[in-house]
Amino acid sequence: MALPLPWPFDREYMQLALIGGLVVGACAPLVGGFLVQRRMSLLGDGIGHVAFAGVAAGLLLGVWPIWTALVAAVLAALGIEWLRARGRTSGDLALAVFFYGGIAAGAVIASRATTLGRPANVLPFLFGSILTVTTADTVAVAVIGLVIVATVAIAGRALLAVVVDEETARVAGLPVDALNAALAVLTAVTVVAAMRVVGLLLVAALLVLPVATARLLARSFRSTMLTAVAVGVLSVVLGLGASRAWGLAPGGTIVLVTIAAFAVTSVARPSTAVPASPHDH
Amino acid sequence: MPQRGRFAPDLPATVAEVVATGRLRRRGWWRGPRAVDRAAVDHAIDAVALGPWRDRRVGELSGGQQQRVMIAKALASDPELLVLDEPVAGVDAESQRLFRDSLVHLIEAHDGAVLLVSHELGAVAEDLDRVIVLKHRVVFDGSPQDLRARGVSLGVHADDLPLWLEGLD
Repeated sequence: MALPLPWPFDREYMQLALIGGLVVGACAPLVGGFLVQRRMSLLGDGIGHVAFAGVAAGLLLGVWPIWTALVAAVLAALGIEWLRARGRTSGDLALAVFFYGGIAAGAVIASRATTLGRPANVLPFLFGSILTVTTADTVAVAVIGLVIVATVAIAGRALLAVVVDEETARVAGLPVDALNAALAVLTAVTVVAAMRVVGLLLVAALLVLPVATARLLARSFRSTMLTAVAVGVLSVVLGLGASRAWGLAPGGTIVLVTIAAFAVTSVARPSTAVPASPHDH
Repeated sequence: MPQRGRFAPDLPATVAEVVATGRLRRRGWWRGPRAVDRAAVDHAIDAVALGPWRDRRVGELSGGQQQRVMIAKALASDPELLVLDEPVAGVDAESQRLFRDSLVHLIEAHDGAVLLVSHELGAVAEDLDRVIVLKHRVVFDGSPQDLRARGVSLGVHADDLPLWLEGLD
């Protein structure tokens, strides 16, 4: 049943899209803020590629693809983090293995499903299909969103401590390995939540681009995060509205809006955001 | 505290936020800050004379100021023992003086101990309780007075500790 919202959100399918989009628009930058500072902006992209294999497996097995994508994404996140923490493989190389492994496995599994007479339409998962989300999808996304907000609320300060100085955080007795693993799992969970909104190929954009914009505007970590959430939410609303108005692909439109926000902010950034550093001597 | 701690220049975090991360050890990392934690952070920032820079991004600060942010972060955890490795390497004289004041504050007001590894002891020469000089082995272990009685000074102006060490095999 449709809520009495004004155009372009007057239809029920647009309202479900809006709810899912708002959750993802708010949650993805919360996770992305830590990833950007750790120089792991593309982690979301790598995990997204592996989640694609999970989606294909779900279609092959006749299981709800959100579950299989979640399993694949979490395993990939822990695998990448394990390779990175072990230090024998560089972060980007570890990522590359999972990147292409995921896409290759996804392609093979999806073609297998087609051979077996179960046409695997993977495009909605690759590029988003927010206008076809069901109530069940929306509930799943909302639950994932709550988990993300709660985790960042509890562990956010400790994650900042690790971002600022991992070595000192370890000496101080913080569970650094567990926190790093938690961040990887949070990224995986976010990727799956964002999968139906912008698609697996565009997920990293929602994790990273609002944060990039916020870093130009805010000074403290807290205000950076809040600004990034505002940019993410605003991008989703504008992107969905524009896609309804002009019949554009919603996922791509939302991401283009986040890029436009970044470009405009970069050019028009108020000079007060970078004051000259005073010296005490 | 590591040598020459420098923050990522683009780290979007203020002095107060970075110092507050030093407090997590005391209260449990999953807990939110209470009044006592906020007070400890403010006190640590004042102790290293960074009050006016409290809400600056750490990356905007000079090297000496960033060094003092690291010290404030350590102070905020109320350490029983603070281990410092060449903390004033490449830091200007005024920052060295402020650094010395914050260490004396930790020792006198907070009953902490400081283990300082350094080639530059001029700034703290008057404040040391015990000096251990190493060159492959322990070549001296005693009070600064005893060291001075041997004709070796730690002061910047009569900086003959390095000369003395050179003379040893």
